[in-house]
Amino acid sequence: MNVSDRGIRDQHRPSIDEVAAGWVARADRGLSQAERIALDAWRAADLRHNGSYVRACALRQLAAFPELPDAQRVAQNDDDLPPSRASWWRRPGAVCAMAASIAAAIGLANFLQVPGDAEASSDRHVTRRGEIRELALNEGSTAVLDTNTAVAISMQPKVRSVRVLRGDAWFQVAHDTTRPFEVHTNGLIARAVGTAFQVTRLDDGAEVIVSEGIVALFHEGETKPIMQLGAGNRFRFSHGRAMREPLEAKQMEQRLAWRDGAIILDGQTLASAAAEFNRYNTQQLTISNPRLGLQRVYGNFRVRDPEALAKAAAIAFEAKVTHDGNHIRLHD
Amino acid sequence: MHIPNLEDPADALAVWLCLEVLPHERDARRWLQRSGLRVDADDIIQEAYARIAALDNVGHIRSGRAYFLTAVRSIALQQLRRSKIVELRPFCDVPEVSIMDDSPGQEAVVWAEREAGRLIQTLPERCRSIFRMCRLDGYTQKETATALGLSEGVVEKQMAKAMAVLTTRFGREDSEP
Repeated sequence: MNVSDRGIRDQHRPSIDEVAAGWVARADRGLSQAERIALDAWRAADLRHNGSYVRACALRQLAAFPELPDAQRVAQNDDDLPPSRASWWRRPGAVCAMAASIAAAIGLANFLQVPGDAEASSDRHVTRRGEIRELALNEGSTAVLDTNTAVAISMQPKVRSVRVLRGDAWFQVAHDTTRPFEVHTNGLIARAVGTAFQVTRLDDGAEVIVSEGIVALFHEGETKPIMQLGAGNRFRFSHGRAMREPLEAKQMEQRLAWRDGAIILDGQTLASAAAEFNRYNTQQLTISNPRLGLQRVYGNFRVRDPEALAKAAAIAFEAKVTHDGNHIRLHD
Repeated sequence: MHIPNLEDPADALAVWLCLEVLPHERDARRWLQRSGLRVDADDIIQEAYARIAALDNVGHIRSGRAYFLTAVRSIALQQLRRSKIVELRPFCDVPEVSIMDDSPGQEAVVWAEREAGRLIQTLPERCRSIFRMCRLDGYTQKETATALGLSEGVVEKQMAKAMAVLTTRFGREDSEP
């Protein structure tokens, strides 16, 4: 396909990626002072500009390597040209070769690391009521914190450790057999090398739900695991009693829906549905009539929208909705 | 010709992105498409690169792929939560990012290298030759201009054009043959 057919020249407003390409071409020949200022301003103006620019720089690096089929040279006579300086890396697979040589020579990871940063540090993250926060941990794992949750993250050379101080969090663990990922809460440890699971701190215990892989469960201070908990299972430790039970796919989905800001009601009572919404919102939903509260409900809702539940329930059960400050009251 | 100087943080980052992230960008774009989220893929990808660029260092990141895909998912969902238009699809339909998809890093890097080469092949001949001299043969833009009897402005313009093909088409499904 011909490039000009794709309208790169004809477009009235160049896309961010095209502007970035122009900057890289200019940087390639060297920027003037004024241009450098202009480039910095452009990069600072929008997050996407900066992202597009660093991506374009990486693409320029990538394009320095490929061995092209012997295309026709514009200059007919090689004597016209100064000697080539870069032919030594014009080999097939040059990027991999380069990666290997860099890694061997200096250790890219070490090189890019700021000195002193290797030490373990504990990072505390707290969510307010209604806040759901996704943390991209720098070793590749993800933690998603539910409403009203606090965790302390400590990345150590031999172990990746997270403490759930309050609430619940879901983890997608990047695979690393040499450095287990441990989640501690209320005396329970869930240890994984590469899997996905949710840990909830209960008033008097803990709950672990595994959505992918296997998690080993320990009592704090003990080396013998309580059990290996596989995907699709829930472990609950409460009132000094431990219990394991399998969850159906639907129950699993329901228990993890909060990560995407959703509440899936699956036949529970309206009263417990309201309680679930109230965990996420300052606007509290109260159900004045106990008979109404015992009605069972189905449906998918957004956690931040208790109003939608109240309206749906009012229609379904011929009830009335009254607003009173921060309260939504559902009554006969 | 820009030979990477690994003591320059910007160059070191470019080399790291080139080896750890660019090879997985296609998968990130595929995920965005499969997710059915009504978001602008280019915006999300650019923001994910910006997120990495904002880090003090990338030495801690064990898997560039996992980090990048996770960032893409998180940015896409953040954008969705911010949107004023009510999404009618149930949210739980958004698929998980398959971080663990074990496409070997080496293979992905080889793919990226080939894809860049293929895109360069689609350039018009003059543009390709100029790009080749500057990027592969190691001549400066000035030397290239002198050798070809062109103005430096023309060489820079052709370089920009070649780079734009890379930046606007690399990793996009529709650009594949």
